[in-house]
Amino acid sequence: MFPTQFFRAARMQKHLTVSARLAFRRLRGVAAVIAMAGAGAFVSANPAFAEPGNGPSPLPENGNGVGSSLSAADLGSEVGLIALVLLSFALAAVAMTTLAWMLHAWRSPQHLEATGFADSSGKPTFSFSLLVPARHEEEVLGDTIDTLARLDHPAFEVVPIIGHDDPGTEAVARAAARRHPDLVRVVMDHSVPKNKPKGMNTALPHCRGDIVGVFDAEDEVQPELLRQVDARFNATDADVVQGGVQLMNLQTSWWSLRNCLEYYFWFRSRLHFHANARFIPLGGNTVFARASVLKEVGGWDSECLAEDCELGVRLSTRGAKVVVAYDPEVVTREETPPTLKSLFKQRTRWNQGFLQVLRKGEWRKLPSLRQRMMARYLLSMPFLQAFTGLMIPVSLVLIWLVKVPLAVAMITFLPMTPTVLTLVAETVGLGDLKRMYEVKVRFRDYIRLLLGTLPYQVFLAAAAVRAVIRESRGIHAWEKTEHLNAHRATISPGQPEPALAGSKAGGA
Amino acid sequence: MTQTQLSLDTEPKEAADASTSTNWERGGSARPGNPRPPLVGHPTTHKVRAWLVSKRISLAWAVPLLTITAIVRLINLGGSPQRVDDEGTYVAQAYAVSRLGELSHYTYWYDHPPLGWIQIALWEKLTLGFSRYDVAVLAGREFIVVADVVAAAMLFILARRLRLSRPTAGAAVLIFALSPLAVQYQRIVFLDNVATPWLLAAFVLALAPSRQLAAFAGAAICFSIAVLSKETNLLFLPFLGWQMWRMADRGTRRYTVSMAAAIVVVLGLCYVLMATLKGELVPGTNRVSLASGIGYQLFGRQSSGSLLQSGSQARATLEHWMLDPVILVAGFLAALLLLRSRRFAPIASVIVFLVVFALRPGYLPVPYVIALLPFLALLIPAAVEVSIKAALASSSAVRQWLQIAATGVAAALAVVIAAPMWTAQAPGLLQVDHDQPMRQAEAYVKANIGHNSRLIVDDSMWLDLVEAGFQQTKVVWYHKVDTDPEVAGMAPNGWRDYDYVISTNSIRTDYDGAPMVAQALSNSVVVASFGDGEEAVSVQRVHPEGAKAAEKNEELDRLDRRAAGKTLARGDALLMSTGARKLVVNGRVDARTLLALRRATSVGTVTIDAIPPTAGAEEARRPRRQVRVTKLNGQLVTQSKAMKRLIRELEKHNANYAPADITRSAGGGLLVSYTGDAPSGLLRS
Repeated sequence: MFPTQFFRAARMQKHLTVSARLAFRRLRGVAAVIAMAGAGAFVSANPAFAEPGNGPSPLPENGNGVGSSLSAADLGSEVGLIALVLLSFALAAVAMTTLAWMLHAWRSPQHLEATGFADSSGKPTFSFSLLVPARHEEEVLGDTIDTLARLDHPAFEVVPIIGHDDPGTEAVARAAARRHPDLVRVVMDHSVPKNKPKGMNTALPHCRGDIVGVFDAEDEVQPELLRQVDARFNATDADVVQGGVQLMNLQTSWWSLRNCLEYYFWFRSRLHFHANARFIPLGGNTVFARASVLKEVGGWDSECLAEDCELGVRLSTRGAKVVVAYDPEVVTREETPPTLKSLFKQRTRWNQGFLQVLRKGEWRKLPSLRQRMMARYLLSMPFLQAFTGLMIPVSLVLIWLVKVPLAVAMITFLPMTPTVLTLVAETVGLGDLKRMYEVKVRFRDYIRLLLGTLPYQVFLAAAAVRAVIRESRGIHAWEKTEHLNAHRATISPGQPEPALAGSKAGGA
Repeated sequence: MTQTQLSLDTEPKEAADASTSTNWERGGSARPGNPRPPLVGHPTTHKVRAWLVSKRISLAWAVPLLTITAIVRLINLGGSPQRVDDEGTYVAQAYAVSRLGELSHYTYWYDHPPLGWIQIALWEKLTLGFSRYDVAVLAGREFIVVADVVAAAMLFILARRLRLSRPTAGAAVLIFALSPLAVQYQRIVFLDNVATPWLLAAFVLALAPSRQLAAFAGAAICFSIAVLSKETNLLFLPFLGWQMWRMADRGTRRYTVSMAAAIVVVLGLCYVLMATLKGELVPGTNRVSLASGIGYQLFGRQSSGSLLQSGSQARATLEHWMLDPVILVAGFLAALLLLRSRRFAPIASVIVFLVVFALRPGYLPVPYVIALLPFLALLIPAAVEVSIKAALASSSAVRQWLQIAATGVAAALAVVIAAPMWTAQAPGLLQVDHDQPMRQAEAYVKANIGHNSRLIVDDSMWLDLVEAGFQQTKVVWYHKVDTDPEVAGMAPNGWRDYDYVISTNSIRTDYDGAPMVAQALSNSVVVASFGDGEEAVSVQRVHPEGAKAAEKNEELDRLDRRAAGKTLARGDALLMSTGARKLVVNGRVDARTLLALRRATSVGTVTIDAIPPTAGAEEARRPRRQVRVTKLNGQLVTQSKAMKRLIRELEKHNANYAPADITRSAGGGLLVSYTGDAPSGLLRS
């Protein structure tokens, strides 16, 4: 059984046997390894890297040395070298800050403890309204609502938000509402054109609970979640509690593995750093905010592609207290987008959303200079990534074709240091995932992790470039990410069987 | 629970209170109802001041000890010990990095990673060391003293982090500061001395109780710098790792330790990257390579023999280290004692390991002991304190007293043995100028040898001579005469192409079997000699015709000088004292001087009152070449016009006997001096 739509090339060879497709994939991997080895050999043999004069350098005349190569070059080449050095430092700095934020939770045992949930003893105090915006999610919505209905909490309601032009999903939602009449209330969204924040804003006035939570239609939610969140609100008196989301399908492909790790580090560690820094781009999922606060700030921004990030920025600006809590027991389980193309669209949308928030300028109202610098840096990440993505091949070409002094050549390798360190951290993180969630992680997954480093970086940079292009052209159409329920392992009795992954060609 | 950061605008009152409360109040324990104000959000000066206050007792212990460390090393820094060849090499390489933009003054051949002398070069660039010192190696030694003080500071912090009391930490620094072995070896520009503060810093950071991710990353960086300064510090890696693993908090251990390990690997690979970028990673025809450099260090070195075998190189090295046997023996015993203590196990193990490792047959470098010194100095007082504390903790009073008494006796014994030894070494280290022969030899060379001559020198002189104007390609470090193909290419006739060899202790004891240098030494005649014994430095002129022929020529020249001298003395145009006459008739006066005197006597009566010796040349029994002329034709030379005419004549005459210098002498008269040696057979032509 092969999910053929996962790989375009494989799809083109639909007529080939399974073993042939496997062989094709293996050949591709081998070719990649050979290419990298060849590149390495080329690098070490290329005389362009040698100092002027290959072999033992002559006894230096006084005052002559490597610097002599610069004195002969023209001003343009000097400027180019300086630019190369500065660029390398900038890239390395960006990568190092990313790494430092990524490892925030493990800075000290106090940090580690602070990133967990406090114990959830104590009586539930609040009431919850759980928004579940859904569009063309007939396959998964029913299960999700049923799971939500099983949450262990005395006072909550589930509010699926369905578009008026989506009869299939509406039918599933109404069926679920009939199954749980006290808990589920369907809200219809009549706005045109449709997007997630518009739908949530439509539902917001109908919410009866003290706290509004947001879930995605394909989420797998743990029963104890609401009690934990309730206790957290009580303990910290927060305005917003951001819970954890974890992608579970490590094994599906090399990029799904990296996607899952990204989510792990984001929710386990980096988000806490942002909460501490009082500037947090919220996630759009498993996030809980006090209804009063939401209504006060006017809900979500319907024009923004990353409405969750935008909300987080707006709340941070107003000094709202945001608390992040991560616990493997109650984390919300999700799946990665089914194809690389859909991941690409998702990333483009997120990056574009960041840029929109940056342009909107709400962050300028942040109280301290440090927070504003942080906001600017964080929100420009897509732009920086795009720039670095474009400059990486340029600088490689420069190194290989142009003779540069030894020191400059070494500096251009500086950005690789944080890359290698990040890879080591990700390897340890993979071990964490294996232990915490008891997923199977085999040796070849580590190899996939290693080999996927550079391609994934290129991929993310490409998404960033696309986001910049789209934003500059003013294209704001919402490209939806579809899901196929691949992460749900168990089939609960009395429920319709979850759709087999791949039985419905979800399109590219 | 996630804490929110305190911000300035919400708590200005507390900040004001903090600044007005006295230092004593702030440093003391928090008073009830008035908790110590938090420091987050305060300006940096406040933080620094608060830190200084909180550490005031430790600073009171440490600062005087660090001053002692610096002073003991700075007194007579240039005089003792005599410069060794290695120092000159590293300083010359630092010069190459700092002034020439190259990694080395010769081809860099990957014998050591370059970070050690790059640090010296950075210091020199900041302080302009080479322009402040006549002797270039002193600029390097100055940096080494700075490194020593930093190492002493790190040692104090390390002792405190190991939860030793301040007196114990102070004792450790004091031993480190005063032991003659430490003082001597920590003045020499060895790469080990550059690496030691980084190594100690790595251990200090590995013992950090909090914020371990940053601390372990810092430890990894410091350790990498130590290894890239002196590669032998790699031997410490497993013990540092063990220390880190023990200290790491269990929850974050996976990340902190793995990040540290990754950093060490990545930074170590920088060295490989550099070699790769230069195209010198693997051996190839006609080029140096990293692989062959590493191969040389691991396998290519001549074995020093066994430490236990008398007469071996290793035994001689051990005897060098016997400057202070107390620290070595007591430190080793302390390490054995502390092996079982959980706190000190890693450090005690590394000492025992290094001692055992030294016993293996193989190359034993002389600076090997440097890495051990701070840890030995640490464990001696640590053993005393641990033993006393264990005694106090034990239940039986008899055992208590016995153990304390035993510890006391051992400590007293060590002090009693060490004190006379250390004080005996003090004059040698602090007063005697062992380097004088070298400086004198350099001065001789600068004054007497043409700047286009080809010299074979010890590297500690190389930079001084080059800075004095000698041609860089013609002053050759002895180590490269045989081994560097470029250098060998410039001397097609081998040793015969060289004019002079300046023989120092390093050349005599360690020319690694270089045949050309050996031949140059044996086929040369000493023209100036300074110092004696091991410290002797002699300037030797190489005779391409071979030793035997050179001897014959020298004998012929001496006979010529005797004959010419007798002739001069018989005539009555030359008036001189008895002593001068004896010198002249015995052929002890230089040929050019005789020729000049002959020319002078043809003008009129010349009165000379002395034929002074020149330093160095006299020790080598060379003919004297200075003469003090007081009168010409009865007139004082300073007023005589005839003298002026004579001088002009002499100066524009044949280069062979135009004087190098004619100066007014302090005792009246003119001092006519020649430099170098007269060419052979001058009087015969």
